[in-house]
Amino acid sequence: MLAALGSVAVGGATAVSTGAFTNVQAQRNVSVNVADDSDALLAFDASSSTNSAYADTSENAVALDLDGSTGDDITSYNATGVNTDALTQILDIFKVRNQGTQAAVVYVNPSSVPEDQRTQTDGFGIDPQASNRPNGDFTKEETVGDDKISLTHIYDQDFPSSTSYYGGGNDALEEYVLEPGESFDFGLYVDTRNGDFDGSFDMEIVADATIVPDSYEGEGE
Amino acid sequence: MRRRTLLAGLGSLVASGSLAVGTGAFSTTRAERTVSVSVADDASAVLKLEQIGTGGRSIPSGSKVTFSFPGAFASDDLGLGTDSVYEFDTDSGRSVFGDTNEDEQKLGLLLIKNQGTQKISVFARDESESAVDIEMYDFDGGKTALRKDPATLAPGGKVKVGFRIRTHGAVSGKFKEKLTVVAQATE
Repeated sequence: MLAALGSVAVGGATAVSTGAFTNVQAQRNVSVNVADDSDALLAFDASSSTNSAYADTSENAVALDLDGSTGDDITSYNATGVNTDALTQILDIFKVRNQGTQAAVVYVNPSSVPEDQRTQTDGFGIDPQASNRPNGDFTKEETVGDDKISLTHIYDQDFPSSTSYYGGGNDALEEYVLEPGESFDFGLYVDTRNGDFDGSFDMEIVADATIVPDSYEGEGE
Repeated sequence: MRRRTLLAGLGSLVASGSLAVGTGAFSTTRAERTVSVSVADDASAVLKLEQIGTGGRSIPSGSKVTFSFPGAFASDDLGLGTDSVYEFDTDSGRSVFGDTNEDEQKLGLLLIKNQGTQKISVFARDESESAVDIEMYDFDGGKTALRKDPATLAPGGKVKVGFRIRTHGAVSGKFKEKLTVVAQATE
């Protein structure tokens, strides 16, 4: 029995080495584990953020809630929205943490912010901001959020109508790098000086390990 | 039987492949997250700006509070004197010295309340390039100008402010001034 099987197996091996086969069907199991935002490879974690009051973590996916209508008031002091005719910055709503094994460039896809809700010289504007960043070429001062940067401003050409609140203009990709285990604070600028807005939209947060620049050499100063 | 043996071999190959995935390498990940925003009136916003009084000097105007000196009900002839410093911290037509609790509560022209989540410092900036200079002062705090010495407000904290107006070198006429209230997290 065993011998017979062995000889058949040899025949089989020969057939494979010629590379000829008519049809092979092989099932492979793919198991995918979907985690809550705080445990994902690209984690969004509001548990230790100063302004986590603006993060709605009641679902698996975190939502940014600067809107009193989705439940309680947005803060514990009866605020139902951001100020009109004002520039409001709310930094550190949640941490974006790279829990993968490679360095990645993390940004917000500029075109995922609806055109009439981008920061512009006229009309309402909203822009995601990163602060408390581990990498990049900036001078750390003593004020809050002095290293903040527009997360949509990664490519100037993709976002021609935006106004960067960061003085550096076309910033190098290094500014947006998160190495494994590193995080930055995710926040928002809301500009109501020239217009109001009531509603919601989806912002696409991207982590891309394939565009980390070759020049990137680790922790910057 | 033979076929099963072959599959077992393939199976171990797959296991090593999935091991690599398990180390957490990813090339690109995209995640859509919802942002909801509403814009609130001054009185119910993250930084509450509430007018005080009966609308003579501190006036709720749509979603915003505006101010008028010497007062919205004053005759057009009446104005602030030139080369002077004026302080206003009660509505027009009210006694400076309130004698009831209710009157006390109506002193000051603007209530600024921190309805956010962080401790803030609050000050005001006169944005207009005119001979008239305006500053806010802390009505209950020794009339300290909220300029270089901002008021510090914990979440839920509030300050009542008055207005100090300097008219050095100003000629008579109407001045439209813009004041920016800045609230900055201190930590």
